[in-house]
Amino acid sequence: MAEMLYREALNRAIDECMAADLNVVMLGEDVGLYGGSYRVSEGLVSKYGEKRLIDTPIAELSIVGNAIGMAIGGLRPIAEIMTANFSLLAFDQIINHMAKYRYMSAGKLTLPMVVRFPQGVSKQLAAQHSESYEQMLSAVPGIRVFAAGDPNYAYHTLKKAILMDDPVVFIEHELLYNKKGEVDLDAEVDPFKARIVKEGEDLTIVSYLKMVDDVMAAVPEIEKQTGKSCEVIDLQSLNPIDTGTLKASIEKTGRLVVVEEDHKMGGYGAQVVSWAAESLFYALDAAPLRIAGENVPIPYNRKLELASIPTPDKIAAKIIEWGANNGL
Amino acid sequence: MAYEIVMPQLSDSMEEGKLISWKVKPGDHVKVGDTIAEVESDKAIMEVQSFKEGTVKELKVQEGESVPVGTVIAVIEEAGASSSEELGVRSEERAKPAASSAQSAVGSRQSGEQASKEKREKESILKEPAGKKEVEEKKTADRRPTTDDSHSILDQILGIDETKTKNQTTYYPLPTTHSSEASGVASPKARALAAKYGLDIEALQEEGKLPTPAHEADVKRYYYRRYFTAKALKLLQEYNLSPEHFPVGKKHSEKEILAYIAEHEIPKPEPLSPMRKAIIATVTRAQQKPVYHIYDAIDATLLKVHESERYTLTVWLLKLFSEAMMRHEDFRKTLSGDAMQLWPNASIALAMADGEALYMPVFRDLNRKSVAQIADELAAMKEKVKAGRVTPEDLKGSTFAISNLGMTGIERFDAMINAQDCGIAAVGSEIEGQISITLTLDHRIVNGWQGAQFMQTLKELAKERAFFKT
Repeated sequence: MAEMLYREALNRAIDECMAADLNVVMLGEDVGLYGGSYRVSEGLVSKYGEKRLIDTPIAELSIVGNAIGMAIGGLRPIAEIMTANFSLLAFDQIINHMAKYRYMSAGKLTLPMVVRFPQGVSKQLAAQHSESYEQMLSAVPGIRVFAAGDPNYAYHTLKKAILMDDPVVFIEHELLYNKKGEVDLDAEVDPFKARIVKEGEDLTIVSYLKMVDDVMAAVPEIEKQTGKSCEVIDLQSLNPIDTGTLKASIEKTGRLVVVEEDHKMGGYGAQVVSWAAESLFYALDAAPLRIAGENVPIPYNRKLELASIPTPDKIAAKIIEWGANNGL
Repeated sequence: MAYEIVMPQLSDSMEEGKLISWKVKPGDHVKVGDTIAEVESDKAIMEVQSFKEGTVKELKVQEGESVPVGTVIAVIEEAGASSSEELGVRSEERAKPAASSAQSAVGSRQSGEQASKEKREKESILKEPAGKKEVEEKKTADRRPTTDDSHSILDQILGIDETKTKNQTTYYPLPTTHSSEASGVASPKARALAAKYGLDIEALQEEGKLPTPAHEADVKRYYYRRYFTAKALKLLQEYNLSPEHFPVGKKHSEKEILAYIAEHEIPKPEPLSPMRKAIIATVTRAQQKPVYHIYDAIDATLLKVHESERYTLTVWLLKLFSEAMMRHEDFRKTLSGDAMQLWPNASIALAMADGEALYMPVFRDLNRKSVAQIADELAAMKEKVKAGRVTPEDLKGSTFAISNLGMTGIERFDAMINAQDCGIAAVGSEIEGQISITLTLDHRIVNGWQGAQFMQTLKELAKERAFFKT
């Protein structure tokens, strides 16, 4: 076991992969000399040189495009998008190329590559630097989508993503980079498996990325006010979804709450709720509850910014109210 | 201002306490020093007192419940203050008008009823015949349609903590309109269960036997009540058994449950009492001590001559051992870290039992007391043990102990050392003028030679006429 920051866990994963496999390269804006905007690739350029840590121009389409070319040619590239909003320029490469080549080439080509996506509402970065795109990315067949909520999963899953032959979108939350946590270096972590953060009996709260921490902060108040125990699940793998873990939990509790930071309209949580309604209808003892961001561009003003997304207080109040109205 | 009373720590080893009984109820006025409750620690039952004057606002723990040390067990509203300020803060947070707790509870129920009434009125225009509204209103008023003794047992089987649910409605009143408000007749899970149990939800709702909408817990509650006798439910609770083990569609009595328990060899779970936990901890520690035994017997002739209803054998034994302890200082020692502590007087812990309870109360400074004083102290302690009123203070300060099972006819046994004592004497019954004594001694404190010397002194004293004249 080792205690490290989320960004240190990511750095260590890349470092170990680069040391183990000469084909692993990383490219993106300021990933080399500067060490990455969030210090994820700090110190790596002096170890592995500029040919393996490639500073690119501000041109997201070419970053992902180049990575795809490298992957076709046999390398294992890691492309870093500085912040998710900028990835929109690269969506043609991601959706039309990265996700499709294996299929279009009848399996002759594989793309062993990772695109890293820092995303989410940070602190006052305003509407064009605060968005989340897991809902769009998870809707594309042909790519794996992982969302790292803690250092342990970040370390193990980024390593596996780099060494996996399928193309991976690896989502990180900008407020998690300085989150400290225990990393069990020797553990065998299945990247496709959801994590039960806290066991409980009476309701299942599903979340991912930073919202898991906010849910955990809300749980003591919820349990105090309702007298019921919450089971908290960090989804971790957004595509595919670990439905097995969700099913076992919902069958036990009969109640589902999904918490996401992204806008409620078209948000990823809708997918989880629709799956539960389709597959587990007779296990549900109440209509599921979705707690999500407001349907507005993320405001710059700090008070409005916080008003636009779920916070521990709001999560607690909404779940308690929902419980009171639904026989909890 | 509210003043909180917490579960007190009555001894160093106490981690949780059991609330034996409440001496007050909400609304009672209490003065400083008034007894609020009786609490059982790992060692004794003690009274909890109020340090402030005021009105009992809330009792948070039920009789018989065990909670960790430091848990708030009661709230006292101090004299001169009203409850509105505290509630005002809560209300402000939710942007609701401030109100006393009773008012807000009533308000919430009214608004909730009004909302459902409005909803039903809309529905009734569509499909319901007139005159039905009255029946439905009754349903909403009785969300839990039945109440009797088996209610709390049912809730326990269902895992419902009603006290907490009640609190919650006070803090978070039902909103008049909200998107997540339940609608429809029953949840999918309740429907699936009703199908399994062969219940007709709609019909039961008509009769006011199920609330609208019905949830899993409502259907289970109804089904368990309908198909299990009160005695059967009590048994299920005692054995921690799920009613789901029993076939649906027929009534189950105590007999079926007992048959199931016998057939499936279900053990009855009995939670450890604080007393049992303390005994386990003490004897486990005792087991780790490096002990040895010395077996001998003392002459019973003089003891028997001087034994009377007032000066019992135990009184004389206390006197005898305390005298021997004054002559052998090792028996007045305790081990503290890497130093010995030599105590000036002879204090002896005596094993005293009353039913399940086992105490080791300490009789202090016996060398300075007359036989009459010792007899009085022993009699007083017997009363305390019987009443369960032994205090932690009564259990402190010994260096040696006596366990006497002589009255049971046991010839000889050996005992386990209590707490920090250096040893214990196990006293058997009188056989052919001899009373067997087994010393269990902690070799870290008392060596074999000194142990044998002590035994020698006991034997001599028992034969000394002068000793009994004191």
